[in-house]
Formats: sequence, structure tokens, C-alpha cells
Amino acid sequence: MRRSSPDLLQGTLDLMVLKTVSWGPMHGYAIARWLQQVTDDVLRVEEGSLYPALHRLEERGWISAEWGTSENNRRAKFYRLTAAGRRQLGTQSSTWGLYADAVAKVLGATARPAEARST
Amino acid sequence: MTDPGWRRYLRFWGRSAGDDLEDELRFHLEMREADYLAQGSSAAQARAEANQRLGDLSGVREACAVIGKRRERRMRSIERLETIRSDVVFALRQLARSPGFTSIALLTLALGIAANVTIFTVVDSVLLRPLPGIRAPERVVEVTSFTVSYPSYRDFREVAGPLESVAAFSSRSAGVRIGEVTHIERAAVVSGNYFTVLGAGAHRGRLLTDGDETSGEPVVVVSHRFWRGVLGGDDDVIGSAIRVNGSPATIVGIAAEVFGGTRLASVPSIWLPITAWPLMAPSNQRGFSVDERGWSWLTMVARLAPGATTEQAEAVLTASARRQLEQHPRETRSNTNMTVAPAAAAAVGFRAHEAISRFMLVLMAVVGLVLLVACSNVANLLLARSESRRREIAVRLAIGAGRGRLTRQLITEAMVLAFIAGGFALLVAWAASTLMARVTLPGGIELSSVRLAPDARVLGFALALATATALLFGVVPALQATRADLVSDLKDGARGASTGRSRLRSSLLVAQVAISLVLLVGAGLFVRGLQRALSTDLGFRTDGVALATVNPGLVQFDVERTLSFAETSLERVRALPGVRAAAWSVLVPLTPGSYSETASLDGYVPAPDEQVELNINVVSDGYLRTLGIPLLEGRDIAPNDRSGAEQVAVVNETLARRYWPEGGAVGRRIFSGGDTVRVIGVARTAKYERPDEQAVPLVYLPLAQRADWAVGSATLLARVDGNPSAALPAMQQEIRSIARDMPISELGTLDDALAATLAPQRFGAWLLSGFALLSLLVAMVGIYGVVAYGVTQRTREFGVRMALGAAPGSVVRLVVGQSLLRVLFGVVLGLALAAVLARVASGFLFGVSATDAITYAATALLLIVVAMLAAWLPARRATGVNPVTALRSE
Repeated sequence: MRRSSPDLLQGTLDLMVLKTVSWGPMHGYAIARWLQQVTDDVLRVEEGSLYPALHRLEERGWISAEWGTSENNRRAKFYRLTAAGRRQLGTQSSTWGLYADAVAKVLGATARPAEARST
Repeated sequence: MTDPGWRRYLRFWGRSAGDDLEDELRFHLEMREADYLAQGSSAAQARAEANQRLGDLSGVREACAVIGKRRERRMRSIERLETIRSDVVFALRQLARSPGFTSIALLTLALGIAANVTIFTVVDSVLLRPLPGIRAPERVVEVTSFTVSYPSYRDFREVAGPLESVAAFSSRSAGVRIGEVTHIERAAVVSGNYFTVLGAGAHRGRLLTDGDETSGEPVVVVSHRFWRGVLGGDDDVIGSAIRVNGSPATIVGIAAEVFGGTRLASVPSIWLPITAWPLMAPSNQRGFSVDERGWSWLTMVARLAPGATTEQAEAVLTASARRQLEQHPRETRSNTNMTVAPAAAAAVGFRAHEAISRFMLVLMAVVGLVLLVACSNVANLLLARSESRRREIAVRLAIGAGRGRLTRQLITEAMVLAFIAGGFALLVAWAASTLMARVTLPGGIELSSVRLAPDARVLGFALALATATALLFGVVPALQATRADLVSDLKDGARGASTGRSRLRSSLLVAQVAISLVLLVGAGLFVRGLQRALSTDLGFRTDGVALATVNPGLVQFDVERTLSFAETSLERVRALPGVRAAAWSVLVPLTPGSYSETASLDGYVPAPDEQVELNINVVSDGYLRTLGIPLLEGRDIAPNDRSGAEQVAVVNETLARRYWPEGGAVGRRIFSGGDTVRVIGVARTAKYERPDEQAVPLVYLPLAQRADWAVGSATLLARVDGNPSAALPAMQQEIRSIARDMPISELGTLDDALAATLAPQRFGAWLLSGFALLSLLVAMVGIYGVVAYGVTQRTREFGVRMALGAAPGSVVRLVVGQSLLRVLFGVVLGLALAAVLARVASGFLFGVSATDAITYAATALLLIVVAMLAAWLPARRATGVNPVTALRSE
């Protein structure tokens, strides 16, 4: 599954992370937990893969990181959306919307394609 | 965005990116565990669950490490750029803080670099890439052995193999008539494939083709320069007719702007087909048919096949020459050895190539030395500056700045200095290239017809030079400056220079003196050479002579018309007020060009292998009187020595002495080419082409008996009272009143002609003198600076000496004496170096020996005197030291 379409998965995860941190600075665990709650645990990604995604996004300058104190007074690394990240989120989510619509249209189609041979 | 500071901050506490990730993951696990515990799992269960959800940890670590390393690398290069930027900004600030130092250093360097860039521009366009507008010029060769006839060229054209294609051209002067005005222009008579072989392009219209050669139609291609300058630069000139030597021709195209043929000394204004030349040739060349195999007048240029060598080309050409000799033994040269040379070398004229190369080598050496002086001067200034910055540098080293970092900082300063200087230098060089356009190189190459615009290569050269100079003058002072003895520097502040540094400054001084001396000697030799050339007894007087050169053949005058024109105009010019004497001469005195013929003489038996070769000039009566050449024996050429009368000649003293040493030249006969002439007089030998030429035997023949010689070109000379230039308009008017269209290719004075002949020497003398004085000045500033600095360093010592009763004079002697030693050392070194280098320049010195003792002694003396003056001025200040103040200042 991961091998079959890694770009799709990675891009999707990036987009979800960007969206998550757009609410405000969050540490990695909070991001994982929020994703889990919002998706009703449907997307059970390996939580470890979240970190390379975070670091990659940071490298690209879409999010920035800062060490801070968590809600239970522990040292934690907080990620925040940058201006460039916000722009990226805008374009990527609209692209994603078009993509999802297109896939939905195909899957929801009721008319048989004219070229399809009847079996 | 990522703040580069945070990680550095963390690193300060011993953290790394890897530790960060571990912290992050541990936090995640603990939080997850806590959540599971809160949901009621056991501790062990919670841990296992949390670990499982996190998944493959090693994969995560690896992926994050790759990203981390990539970021680190990028950050480091950003940091490096940032360091360079801040170094440059710091350097600019430092330079701005000492405007005196900066402006002197910039001026010296900019002049040094500009001189080099200017000369490089000339070398590049004359020697390195002399053939602009020609495709793959390295494969173009010129046949240098001899010129060939048109039928012979057609034979040579058939050779294949190593030669891809063969073209031919002949450079001629032509009277091109536009409206009412006839311009004397350089015309190239070319084969139809000429432009194709060279791979030249057209600016407008078309170039010549094989079709034009076949048809022989009178069509011409004009040069871009001629089109712009003479035709007005309109597009509609294509298809219009002009007159070439009186015959109509149609302009079919304009050559590409950069294209100027393959000869720098004769850049054509028009190109026309060989086969059309008979229609347009001047009257004195009308008798020939291009189909005559005996008329050798074409130079061949060829394109080598890829990979072919000149030797292979010579072999096939020689083979063709041998076949031609077999088939046409009577009309073909018996010498069949064909030689070829790269067109780039032939471009400056094959014989001139060496002279020009040497000339440019001398100039390159000169500007290189000037740059060396500039560099050593700036290095000296930098050393002096680092002395006064010693405390600052010591402080920075003490608080932990790395030596490498400081050295880099100082070298950056040098680089910044050099690059700003390089920028100025390009501006100066650009301005200088317009001045250079007035210069004529040996071989008659006028730089005005050569493109001298600084291009990308010149820019690259300037950049490379700036970098090299920065390293040259920057590295050693920088290394010296940072090799500080911290304790003593901090304690003493600016006092007490280390001996190593002052030794370095002394040796830089010696180098400056030596190089200045080399340049001064060079300048001295050139100036003396020029002086000698100017004071040479030319055998006649150049002052007060006006001259006008006409070309009757270009307006189709035949021999009779030429003679009657010559006689009438001579009469009229002699009648002009202020004209004392006037005469015609086929050769222009002191201008390159000569005629010679083999001859035999009455009563002279040549040695077995000797061939008597006599130079010839054809002159009218009054020639000797006009130039002031004394007649030693017999009589001068008279107006009645005309055709029909006995053929006579006046010979020069050299001829008479060489062939009739026992005397009695008058009355003897000379036989040449079926003619017999009787000697009627002997004239004093003069200089004919150059002031430094050897005496040559010469025969003057009467113009009235040899008017055919004057059809091509002849020069009317008039000795006048007062300024000869003032007589020129009247002379021109008289010529035009007799023949309205007569082309006048030269209008000037004999002094102008002499000046033109000496132009390269004059240019060299001016340039060398200027550079020598510049470097002398720079060296003097250096001496002054070193001595003045030494004096301030030794203030206390002088104070003590004077307190103990030393006379002021002895202190001055002490200081001056010490610098005298260095200067003498530099002088000796310079004399030796000059003696070696002057040999290269010996060809331009007009017989002044390259080891001319007077020049060497005089320049050495001059340098020592000036150097002593430069040392004495600051030394005097040492005597002004008040012993009490000096001792107390400690």
C-alpha cells in the first residue's frame, strides 16, 4: 500500500499536517492525536512517518519549529505554519479538492462508457 | 522561517540535530503512553502499544537524518556567503575610513591594470584574434611563397585533399567616385569564392559568388565602414552605381561590420571580382589580361580541411606548381616551393609579424613592470597600514578571532581594493582605446582600422588581472599582519616594528627602484633612438617642403596625358608665390616603398654569384634642388632630357663609389632591361625610406623620359618660404584646375611623412617615458613613506643622539645613508635586468646600442638623485626632534 502510491500518501500527509498546524503552533504528538480524532481513526498511519514529514516541511520553509513547553510542562518541539506554508496550503487544498471531485465522479458514475465492450 | 541562530545556540550547549529528534520521539512516546495509561492500560501494555503505533523507528531516524544533513549543508553555504558578504562590507568600511590610503592605492592599481588591459586589447585584436568576421580562422592559411597569375590560381584551385578550398585576392588602390568626389580607397580584387572560403557574412544585400567571377560583370561589395562613412549608411545604395577608376559598377551588398579581409594593414573598402578588374583597372594596368599566365598578381588564401596540416597543404600546392611548370614552362616560375602560413600571422603582413610581436612584447613587458611597481607600492602601503592596525589586530586575536579568519578578512580587503581598481581600470582602458586608435604600429598597421572595443575576453582578462594583483599585493602583508606577537603588540601599541616586516618593506623598495630603473632605461633608449633618428643626416632637408601625391591612372590618364599634366602643374606650382623650387618624384621620400632593377654597369665586373641590383626613382628636373640634395659631379636632370633625346641618369654617391671606385662616373653607361642610360651626374646619397636605413645605390631617371612610371602615382614636392602646410590648398587648387577629377591620395608636408615613419618609435618613446615617470613617482612615494616611517619609529633614538651632542647633519646623513644603500642595491639590480630586457627592444632603437652606456649612467644617476631627495625630505624631520619631548613620549 505504501509502496504502491507513496507520492499520493506523502502529499496527502503533508497537506493534512499543514492544515493541522494552521490552527496554531502544535507539537508532533498533538498533530498526530488531532489527525486521529478528526479522521475518526480511519487513517491509521504509522505515527513515526509524521516526523520525516514535519522535518521535510520545515526544510522547505512551510512550517517553522521552536522548542517550547507543553501543556504538562515538558520540553517539546512546536511547529507553526509560515506565510509560505499558508500559501502552499491554499493551492494544495484546492488542487486536492479538484482531484477528490474527479475521483468521486469516476467512482460514482452510473452510465456505462460507450467504448466498453459488453461481456 | 528557520532562524539559523537557534541551532547554533543549541550547539553551544552540546546538542545536535540527532539529539533533538530523540527528544522529540521520546516526548511523543511518553505522551502516547500517558494517554494509554489514562485509558486504563497497564504500564507494560501502554509502552508496547505506544511503540507499535510509532512504527519503524530506525526508518524514521534515517529519513530525518538525511533531511537534517541536507539542511545543514545548505545552511553552511549560506553562512559562508554571509561571511563573505560581511567581510566585503567590513573591508569597504575599513577602506572608507582611510581615504588617503584608499585613493592612492586605487589610483596606482587602476593605472597599472588599465595599462595592461589597454595593451592586451591591442595584442588580442592584432596578434591573437586578428581576423574578425571569418569563420574558423585557425583553418585559414595564406600562401606566402609568391603571388600567382589568374590561370595559375585556377589550377591551384583544383588541388583537393588537405585544402578544402582556395581563394585569391589582390589589394589595389582605386579611385571611387561618389557624385563629384573621387575617394582613393583600398580595393580588393577577389575570386568569386573569396567570401565563401573565408566564411564571411553580409550586412545587407549579397556577397560575391562564383557566378560573378564567371560573368565578369562589374559588381562590387562595399565594406560596412565605407557604407557608413562615405555612402551615408542608407539601405538604398544596394543596386545603385558607383564609378571605380572611371568605370561604372553596381553595388550588390555590404559586408558584415566586423569583416575586413585578411590583411590588417590594408583593410579594403570595396571588393570586386577578378574578372571585372580589366574593366576597372587604372590606365597603367590596362595592358594586362587576367588570362595572362605571366602576370603574377594574386595572393592565395585557403581553408584547410579539418585536421589537415600546413605541411600537407604545402605538399599538394608544390605538386600542382610542378605540374604547371611542366605544362607551361615559359610562363611559370621555376621555383615551385610553395609555403603557407596561418592567416592570423599573415594578417599583420608576413614580414611585419615579427616586428609587431616584438613591439607588443616590449609594451607588454613595460605595462607588466608598471603593474608590478603598483603592486609592490600597494603592498608597502598595506604593510605600513598593518603596522598602525597592529594593536587592533592583536586585540581581535586576543579575544579569540582565528588567525585564518583574520587573514581571510585582510585578503578580502585586498580583493575588494583590486576589484574596484579593476572597474576603474576598465573605464580608463575604454577611454584609452580611442586614443590608441591614433597609433600606427610597425608595418603600417593603423589601429583606427582595427576593432579595439573591450569585449568579454578583455573583461575576463581584467578580472583575472585584478585577482592576481590582489593576491600579489595582499597575501604577504596579510600573513605578516596576523603573525603578531600578542604580548609585545598589546604592550607597545604602535611602536617598535618587528625587523621581519621592515626587511620586507626594504626589499619591496629595492624591487620598486630596480623596476623603475628598467623602465627609465627603456624610455631613455627609445628617446635617444628617436633623437638619433631625428638628428640623422638624411641627406636632404625635410623642413619647408609641401607634397601632394596624385594617381593619374585612377582617372584613366595615359602616359602622354600624365606627362603633360605633370609638366603643366609643375610650371603652375613653381609660379605660386612663396614657392622656391618644385619637382615631381615617383617615390615619396621617407615613405616605405622602393623600386629596384637588376643592371650591369660600364667597367664593372660582378663577382661570380653577384647580381647588381639598383634602386630607382623617377624624378623631374629640380628634384635635387627642391630637397636640397647636393650635386657632387656633372649636371642635374634638365627639362630637355625628354623622350627622343639621349637616355640619361643621375646616380648617387654610394652607387658611384661602389661600382666605379676609381672615379669618373659621369659619362659611364648603365644597362638594364634593354635600356641604356648614360650617367650625367652624381648626387649625395640620402635616406630614401627610413632614417636608419643602410646607404643603397640609387639611380634617378628623368620623368620626361619615363612618364609611364608616374601613371600609377607621383608626388609633387614644393619647397616654400614659411609654413609648408599653408601652401597645400594652393597646390591642390592648381592640380584640380588642370585635371578636375585628379585623385590626390596624400596632401601634407615632408615633416609629416617623416613623423609618420617614426610614429611607432615616437609612440614607444612617449609611452615608455610616461610609464617610467609614473613608476619613478610611485617608487619615490614608497621611499618617502618608508623613510618617514623609519624616522618616526626611531624618534627616541634620534632624541638620545642629539641629546648626546650629535649634529643635525650627521643624523640626516645616517638616515639618508641607510636608504642610499637600498637604492644602490635596487639600481644595480635594475641595470642588470635592463641590459637583458633591452635586447628584445633593440630593433626599435634606431641603431642606439641596447647597452648604450650614456643612457644607463644617466638614468641611474637620475634615479639616485631623486631617491636621495625622497629620503632627505623626511630625514630632515629627524633633526627637528626635540630631545626632551622625544624622551618623555616614552
